[in-house]
Amino acid sequence: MKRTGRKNEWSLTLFAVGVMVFFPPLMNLFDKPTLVLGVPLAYLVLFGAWGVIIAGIWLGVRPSAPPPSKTARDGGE
Amino acid sequence: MQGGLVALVSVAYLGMLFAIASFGDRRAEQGRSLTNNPYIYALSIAVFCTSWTFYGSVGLAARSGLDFLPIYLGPTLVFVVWPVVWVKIIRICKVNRITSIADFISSRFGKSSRLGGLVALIAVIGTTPYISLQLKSVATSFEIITGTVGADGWGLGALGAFGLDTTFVIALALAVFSILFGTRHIDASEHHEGIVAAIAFESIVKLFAFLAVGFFVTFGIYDGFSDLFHKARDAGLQKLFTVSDGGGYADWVTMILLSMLAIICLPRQFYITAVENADENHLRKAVWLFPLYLLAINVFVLPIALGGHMAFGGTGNADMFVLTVPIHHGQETLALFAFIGGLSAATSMVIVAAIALSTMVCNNIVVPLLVNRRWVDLERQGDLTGLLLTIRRTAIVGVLILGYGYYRFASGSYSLVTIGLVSFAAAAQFAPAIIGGIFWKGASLKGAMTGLALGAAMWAYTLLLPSFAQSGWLPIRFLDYGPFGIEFLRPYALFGMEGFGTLSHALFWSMLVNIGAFVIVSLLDRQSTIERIQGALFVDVFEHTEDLRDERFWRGSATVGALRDLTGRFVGEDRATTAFQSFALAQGRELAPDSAADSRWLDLAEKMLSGAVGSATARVMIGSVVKGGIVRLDEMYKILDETSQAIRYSRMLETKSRELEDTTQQLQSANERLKELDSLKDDFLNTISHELRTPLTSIRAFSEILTDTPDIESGQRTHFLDVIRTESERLTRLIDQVLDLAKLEAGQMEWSVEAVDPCPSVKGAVAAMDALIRERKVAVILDVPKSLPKVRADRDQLMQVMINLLSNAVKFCRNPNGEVRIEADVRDGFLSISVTDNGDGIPPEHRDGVFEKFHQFNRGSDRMPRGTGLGLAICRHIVTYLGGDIRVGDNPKGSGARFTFTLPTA
Repeated sequence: MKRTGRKNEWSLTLFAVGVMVFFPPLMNLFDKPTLVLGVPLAYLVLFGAWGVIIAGIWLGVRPSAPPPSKTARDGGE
Repeated sequence: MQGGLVALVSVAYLGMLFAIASFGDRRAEQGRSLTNNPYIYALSIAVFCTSWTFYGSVGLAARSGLDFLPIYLGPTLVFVVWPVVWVKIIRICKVNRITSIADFISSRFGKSSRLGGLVALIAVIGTTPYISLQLKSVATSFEIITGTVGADGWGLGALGAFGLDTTFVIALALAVFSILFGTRHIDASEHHEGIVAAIAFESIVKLFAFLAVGFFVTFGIYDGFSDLFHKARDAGLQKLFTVSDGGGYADWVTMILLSMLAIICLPRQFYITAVENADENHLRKAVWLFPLYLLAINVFVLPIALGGHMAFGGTGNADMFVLTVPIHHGQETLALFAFIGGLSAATSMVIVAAIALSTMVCNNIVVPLLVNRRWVDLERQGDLTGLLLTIRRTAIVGVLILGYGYYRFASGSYSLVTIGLVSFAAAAQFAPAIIGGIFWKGASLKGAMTGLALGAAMWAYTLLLPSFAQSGWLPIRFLDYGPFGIEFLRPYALFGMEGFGTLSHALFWSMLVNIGAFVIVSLLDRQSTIERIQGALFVDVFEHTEDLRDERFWRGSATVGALRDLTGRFVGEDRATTAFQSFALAQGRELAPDSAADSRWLDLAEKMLSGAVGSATARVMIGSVVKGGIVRLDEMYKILDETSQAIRYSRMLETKSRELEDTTQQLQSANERLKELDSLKDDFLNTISHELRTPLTSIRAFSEILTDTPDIESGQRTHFLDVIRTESERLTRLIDQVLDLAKLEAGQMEWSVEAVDPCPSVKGAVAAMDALIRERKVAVILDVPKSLPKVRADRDQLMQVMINLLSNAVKFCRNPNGEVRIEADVRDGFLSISVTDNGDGIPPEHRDGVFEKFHQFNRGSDRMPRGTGLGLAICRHIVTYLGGDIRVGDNPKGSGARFTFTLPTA
């Protein structure tokens, strides 16, 4: 499998987003027993962010456009 | 529900699994792999979701709200960084043909079998609580579904009536099932395609079963999410809507971190994700499908927990809500489906864990022991598959019995999640060795060993032993007051650290000692060469395998095209192409860039490169293309460095031994010289005593004659007295000369060197020898110029030299017409004086020796010594000291000898 630098950057960015959302102190903002749209706020935000991150992974793994043959041969990161 | 029916359905379900597995294996044998498929792969990774997820999460949610989520958020975060972590681990496993986590770690750290054994041991002990969790959930769910206990989930075992423990029966059944599955045959490859297919199927079953219950609770009992949550709020369950009910996030953070480590380090997760991966490209789908699966299976956890809470009014075994809620609402079929879902969750975990653990126990503990201890002669035994299968099957049974034992004796009072977390914390101990091992080349074997051992020991002390204590297997005082009453060592508040949950506390201490020892020992340790090579292979795995070109070198060859490109970069594309084409033509072939380059091509490329960048660099460049870096260049240098150090040492040794030989030789020659000198001294003493004795003897003999015969004739008496007198004179002269020579040799002679007119000395010498000259009737011709330049000499010593030479010439001139000629000449700043006789001369073989001490070649008929044998030796000493030279030759005018000495003019 070919790995490209862009994938690493994307995945590390996504990781940072995940860490930010799933760790305090940001969690304090939404970890409240109130119901929003009939659903607990924390439940909504956590599952929502989870879904967004999964979508982010999906975006990151799509095979990029085939590079010109010259670069393909040189390859590498 | 009828126990028999439930048992039948369960067996039928397991039978179906078996059929799927067989089908998968058959397809694999036919080359139409079922599991070579990203969806199957993603579903198989979902073996992560066990009874813990299926039953335990709901229980945890019913107790503390959203606290169940970190166990799934952590793995999601790890899959986010899949290009950094998973691709690397999978690539390493493929390149090194890794079969288990123990194999991975031991291979990374220099293929150490002891480290592999330690990992396998920790894995077995650490997984035991996890297996007991599965057994417990299956047993409890079986008892609930068969109605042998109340709907509240507590009661006696179903088979108790027959004197059998349900859990034990289930443990045995799972053991048999795992044996049938995992050890039907020893695979040549490390892949078990049938099992992967079955596990994927189980993942579908458990997901749908759980979703079915979730749908039923949310949309069957209640009118959707909103209705459910509102009713729950009205029932006073808002505290379950949050993560932390004001209690802080320490445990939340701990559990996310722990589950991040666990998704990599749990033996079965590692096995399914890394070892059973059929194609790296499957990751592309699995990395988002698996988190999506986790999300889907968790959506209904909170609704089911709330539904259970409201149905039973806060009582009952919350861990079994998935089962008891449908039963409570009369949905027996749904409950049976849920039971099968729970069964699939448990069996998938137990099967994969049992296979992974039995492989480790067999490959990393038992076989190394057998080989090292030579209990079994593996070389002589032909077919070992039977032995290996027996070991693995025994290991599976052992692992399940251990799990059962833990369930029976330690886990009774714990919730499912609490038991599971104990296992997570054990698996996390592998993380420093794995993560450190793939990113840090300096990580060493000793570091990994120490870290793992200390971390595992700390885990056992802060989590495993307390669970024994709480079950009464250790005195409970152990928890409250520490071992032997030392409060400082309380396992839940080690070194007085309080205010954390037991899990955070244990994870902190075990990771502190684990990572600390791993890093510090690695930094202090010196890696062996194999460790360094393995370290480079693991850390730089992409550099060896990333590029298409590199992959070819990986197989040990370079292509002509690659060489041409490389050369072209330095000498210009056109030139390189032309040169390569003409080279191919010269061999009568077409230029084929994809063909493997043999040594002639390498030669050509290296030569062309040498022209551009110098031969050393050219060699390195060619090496970088050809070897493809089994070992990286800097590793190569390190190895070279080590080798050259060894060579340097051996060179030093060689030099030393050569020096030693030289010294020995010097000593030997010195010793020989000493021996020679010793014998010379002996000779000297012999000769001198002989020389002294001869005149003494004649003096004594003649004196005795004179004493004994008083009436001797007066003529004869005079003759005798004459002899006595001459012999005494000779003796005196001899002693004088010996003393002179000794002084000369010892450098104690007192010299008064000045400008001396040689003529008086010469004439004085002739005058001194007058008596002898007359006696021998020898004509002495003095052929010396009137005026001679002065010479630098000591007057007396010069006279001595002349006297010695003259007396020798007179004495040995045995010729009736004896003639001695003294000549002088000045040449090149030197005065040369020669004394020539017309006697017999000195044969050439004696010429070198005449200047030695006591050298006499006596050719007289009476064999009586004519001289002392010291005269010439003294002459040589004197002349040499004065800066001149003395030599002997033939008389140019006939027979006889000629002595010539030179002295520097003043």
